Amino acid sequence: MLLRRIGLPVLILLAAGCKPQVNLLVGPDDSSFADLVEGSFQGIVGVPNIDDDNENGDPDWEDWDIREDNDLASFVIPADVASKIRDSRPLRITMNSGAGDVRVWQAGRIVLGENEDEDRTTSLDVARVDSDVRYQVEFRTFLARATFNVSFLNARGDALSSVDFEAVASPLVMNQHLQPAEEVMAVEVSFGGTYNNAAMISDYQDALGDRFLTLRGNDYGGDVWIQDEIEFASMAGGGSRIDLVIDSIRDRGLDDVPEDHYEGPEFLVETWGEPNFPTSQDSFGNLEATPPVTVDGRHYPFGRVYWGDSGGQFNVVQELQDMFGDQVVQAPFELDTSWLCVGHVDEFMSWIPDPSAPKGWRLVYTDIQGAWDVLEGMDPNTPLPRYDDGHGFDTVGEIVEDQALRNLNEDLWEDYLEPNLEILRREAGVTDEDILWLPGLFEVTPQCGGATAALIPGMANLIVANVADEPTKIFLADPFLRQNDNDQSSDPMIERVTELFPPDFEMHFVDDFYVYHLGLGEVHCGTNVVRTPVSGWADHVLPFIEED
Amino acid sequence: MNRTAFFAALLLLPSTAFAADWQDRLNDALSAGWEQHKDAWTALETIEPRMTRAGHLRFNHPDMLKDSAVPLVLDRLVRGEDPEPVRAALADVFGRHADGWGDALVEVLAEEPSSAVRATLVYGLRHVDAEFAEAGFTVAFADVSSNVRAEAARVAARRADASVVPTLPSLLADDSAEVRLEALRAAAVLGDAQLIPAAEGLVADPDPIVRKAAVRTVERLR
Repeated sequence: MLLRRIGLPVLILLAAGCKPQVNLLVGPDDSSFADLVEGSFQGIVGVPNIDDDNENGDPDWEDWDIREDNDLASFVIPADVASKIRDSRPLRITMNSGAGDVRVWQAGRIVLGENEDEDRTTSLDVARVDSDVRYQVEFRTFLARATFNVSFLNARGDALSSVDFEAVASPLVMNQHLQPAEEVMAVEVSFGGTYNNAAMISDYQDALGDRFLTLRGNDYGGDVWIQDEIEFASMAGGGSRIDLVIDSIRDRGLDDVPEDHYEGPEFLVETWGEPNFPTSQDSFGNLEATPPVTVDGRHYPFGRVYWGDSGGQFNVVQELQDMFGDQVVQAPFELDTSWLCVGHVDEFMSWIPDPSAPKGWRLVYTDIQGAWDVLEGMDPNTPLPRYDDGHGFDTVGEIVEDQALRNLNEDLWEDYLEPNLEILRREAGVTDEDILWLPGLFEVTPQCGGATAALIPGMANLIVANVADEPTKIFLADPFLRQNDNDQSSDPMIERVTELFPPDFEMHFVDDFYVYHLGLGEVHCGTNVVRTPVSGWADHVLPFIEED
Repeated sequence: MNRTAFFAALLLLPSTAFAADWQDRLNDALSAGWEQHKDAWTALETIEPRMTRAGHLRFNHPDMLKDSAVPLVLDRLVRGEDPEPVRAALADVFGRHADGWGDALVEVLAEEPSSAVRATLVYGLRHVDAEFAEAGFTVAFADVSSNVRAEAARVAARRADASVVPTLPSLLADDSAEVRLEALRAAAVLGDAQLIPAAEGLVADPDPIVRKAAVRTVERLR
């Protein structure tokens, strides 16, 4: 039975004969009850009080004052219970664990847990009153938890009736593509003449309107790689939501974006790791999350975090790896990105929502043979002005006839793409029917020590803009496999790719060629998205924590 | 820089392809360009490379990627006034449009002191005429830097340049695993069965990636 009405007893009592029952009401409003499912979890959920509601520069947990806080969970001893308290029959709340990580407040003072003087109170006798007695629960950090017992006692101190419950704070959950998009952002730059991204910015503005945030490149040293600088995550529970920007240790031109545009009372900015020696793998095009997946019977309702390991020091900074491991709920795994010049997981794969798919999503994965199929179906004499500019190929025929390029891509498939897909099958439960094969080719690029980057602008490096109550919009690189830049209808690759995606999707093939593609990134690398957090973690998450 | 290899390479070049020739053409092109396109070239001169997502510099301004910009790029490269990362970026953009400037590419490749710049210049051999490519490979295969030798083998494969076949056995025996790997890949593309014994010899190479490439190369050559 799902208990949804405030005023109903959430925690059911060990009632014996005519002994008084212990009733607790949990949560400030209906929303909190969505987190409670009988059978898997009975208790209180909330968010860690690590934001800064009073904007004094310190995390609220360290303030010892909750008057301006809005991130505390609550529970209530109802009046009909409180009124049954007698001197000979006290009602006692005992904090059995977690006193260092969880506090209980009543009327503006700490009644359970550790106070400012580091004294711990773990037992509280409730005074008799004829009205509801409200308590507020404060959590120190992600997944902070405490266990409680509430009992009516007899004169000998034995429990007449009692109930045990837990209080648990939300983990930090990194966003994934199935969560609705709230805001999409990119950096507008102009480096003189036609070297700008006006076309891409314009496409975003036209398609997304007020949902699109244009960042000014002049404010950020012309750094366009907003995907690499920040990653969005959130916490939710007890009717509260806190968003969080994970600020990478990359610290290039866009370093100040989180503080300039997002940091606020309910929007935190945190960095894991020291920025002394960042590698490319510390950029967040190399940090992604799968959609909800089930692996070996274990469901990951928020997906799983993954990143690329390019060998040796070329991996995500250890502190960030540890943090995601500690969250448990998105148990991270690694892919091999050592074959890529930039070395990011977003260079060859992505995920899209697809209600028609068996699991509600598709893995978008690079299809080498699919690219050759499209190219071989074209007139080999077709001029390719963009590829002449950027890759030294004048025509389709020059690409098709490049045996070294064929061998390279065949080897990449066997050595890296297929083994990474095997990891995804094992760690994310991907099956053949889940895959959307997206044509793509790679080539060795100068100054990359033999590593590769996309030859055809990497379309798997895409943005999912699934704004609520609107058609899902996909933004991906214009492949420019045609003579006339301005005529997308003449591009066989665009025609092929459009057929691959669900028919009700809006496909936006945007010109990212000079600013992004030739800079060894694509549309996803140059964009970021704030998404709506997924609620209801407690019923799924707590069994994970128990197992861990 | 490898002057012995350079002079050996000169013997491969057409008699017209000596330094004075390309430098004269460059000077003529610069004079004509400044006279005819002063504003455009003034703008080109101010263009600086941007940092790629991987962290190195690259010129991706569309105006710098046109053949018409090559004289300015080459002039800036040979003047040598920029720091090494910028010069590597100049070498990259020059290499992408080096057709017509093969003689210059070979000489700059031989004279360039920075191995990072030379390794990038080698990519230009993909686009130059055969005689310049052959001369350029002669220089690059004799380079003291294994990165340059490896990149040269990689580019030879892209060209499917049979002129490098006689050199491949020595590259297959190179001290550097990266060079052996790229030589194997070049051998696979060039398809000369005479290379099978040398490739088979690397099936037992100490480097596992080379071993794997050797097996593949032998399969592709058969």
